Amino acid sequence: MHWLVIGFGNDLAGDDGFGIAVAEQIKKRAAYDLAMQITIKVIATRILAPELLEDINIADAVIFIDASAALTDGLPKKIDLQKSISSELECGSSIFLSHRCNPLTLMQLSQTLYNHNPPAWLYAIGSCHFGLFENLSDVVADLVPEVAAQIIDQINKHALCEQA
Amino acid sequence: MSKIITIDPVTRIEGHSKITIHLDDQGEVEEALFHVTQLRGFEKFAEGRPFHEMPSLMARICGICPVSHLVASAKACDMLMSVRIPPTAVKLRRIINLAQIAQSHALSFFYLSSPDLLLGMDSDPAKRNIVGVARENPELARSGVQLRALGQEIIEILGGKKIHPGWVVPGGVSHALSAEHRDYILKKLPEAIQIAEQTIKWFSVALEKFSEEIAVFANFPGLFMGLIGSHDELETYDGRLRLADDQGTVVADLPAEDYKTIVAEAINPHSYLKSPYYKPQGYPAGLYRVGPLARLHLAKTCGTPRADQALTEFKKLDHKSAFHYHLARLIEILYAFEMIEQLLSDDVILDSHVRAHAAANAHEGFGISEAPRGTLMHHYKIDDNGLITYADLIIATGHNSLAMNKGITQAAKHYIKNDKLTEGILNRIEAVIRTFDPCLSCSTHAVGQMALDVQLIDVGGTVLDRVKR
Repeated sequence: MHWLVIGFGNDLAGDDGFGIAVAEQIKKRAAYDLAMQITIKVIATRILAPELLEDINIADAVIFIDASAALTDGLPKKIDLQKSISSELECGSSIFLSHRCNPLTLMQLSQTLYNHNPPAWLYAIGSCHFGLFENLSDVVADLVPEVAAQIIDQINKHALCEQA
Repeated sequence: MSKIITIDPVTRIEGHSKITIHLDDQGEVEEALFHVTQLRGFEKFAEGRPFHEMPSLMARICGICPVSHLVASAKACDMLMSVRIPPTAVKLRRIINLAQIAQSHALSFFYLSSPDLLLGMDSDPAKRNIVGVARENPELARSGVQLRALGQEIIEILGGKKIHPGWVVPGGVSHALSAEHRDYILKKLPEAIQIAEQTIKWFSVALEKFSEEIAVFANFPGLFMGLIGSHDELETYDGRLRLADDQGTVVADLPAEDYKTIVAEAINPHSYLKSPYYKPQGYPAGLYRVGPLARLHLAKTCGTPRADQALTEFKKLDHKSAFHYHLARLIEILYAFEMIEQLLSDDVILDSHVRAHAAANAHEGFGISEAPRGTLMHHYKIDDNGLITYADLIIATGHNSLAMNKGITQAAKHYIKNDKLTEGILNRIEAVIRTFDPCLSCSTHAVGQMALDVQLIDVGGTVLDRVKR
């Protein structure tokens, strides 16, 4: 099974760098902590753009990692994106005005363009610290290893289920 | 007394801007102005920094075309060091710049402009986007994804990352290309070339639907500027600086570093974007255009077989219309991938000697390259310690400033009648700007959730008409 992990955000904008930090940690840990039969590609990127569809198209499962001002400060949340995938393509994301996507739009584009709809989750952390600074806030920084561990755990459990 | 219509922000471009349309007492459009509402302070905060930091620092100006700044800046540093960089380094720099042009043009055409071109200028704005394109013509959307992805992948392979690579350095590039990477890129190019050709065919037919837009989208006489090769071929990295009029008559042809003898910059109170002009004709008469339309207007040949076929057809079009930037962009995507294939097919590309080393040997350096949007100039001066004392950048979008303002005035005069606005009219005026593909963001291109609120207000402050989305 091939997993795609995409951490995204601006690491020069405070806690917006959360996705990047988690992705970098998963990159380091993948070789040691993931089960042998798992293949994984980890991408750390500033924005989600449509060309990521090329990677999504060959993935069996996708995990996005982001920080959000809309969630409760300091609380991680896991969202199953596939449950929304069958709905009509949503309007209102910034893709309509620039070339940036959100995870849901990307997965919907994957379905529309490639008829490929792998399971996908968003791990998001709530924060209100998005100023012009490079460091994560203490609360969010503490959650980086925790969320990285959760994701690795999810991937390993999935592999175990497949074996069984 | 005049009235003002404001389009704020302009959407599906790179950066933050607004348009104001000024009406006279009779309600007729007097002029339209394109305001760039963000400030780039790079020239100032580069001062006091060591010159060798400039390429990586200046690349941060933009998240879309960082490679162009990297290349122009490194060339300026080469001149400060007074070195001739190894031939393989020149070829490698050419390749990464071409990959940059391809990926940026793909973004502009497929993601930002194809919704207008495929779905129509008056189509439902909620569907006029890349998702709408994906529904209507999945193959076109997939083509855009594939072409941009390959351009970015080539940048990542060479430079280590897709955005803000630091691989291009003063004196050359930081490391050589491996045979494995060369072969990988070569394997992917034929399909990209085929896709680019197919899209050119499709769009050449689709052009017939846009005769009105072609007639009024910044369609006026003027000059075109760009780099040109020694055999009048399309040039994106080196060459001479040339200006020609819309009939093709050359009005200036000079070494690029002498640009200040013909180009001056005017400052407008309404915008942070400066307005360069051709000195001999003065301001604002010395309006000129840069970018893919100008480059293909100036070039007699692309130097690659398929792009040359497309260029032959392109030469039959009225280059005065900015609408033809779109087709020019597609032809340059085709050219970029063909030229990358040519450059990679030469075994010298794997040579390990890719960097010249030297300290500062001159106090002034100038670098020029063709960025996706046009001619890009970096000009530095340093002190005896190699610290920057002066930095001046003229970015491609700046060169087009006068033409963009004149272009939206022309379109506004044509479309706005009797104080009435429609969403389609506003979109057309924005679309004039999109043809130029301005890159205003300078290190950020996040536009977020955009609202568009255009009001037509009379002298007494009464709202005559309003369009909101």
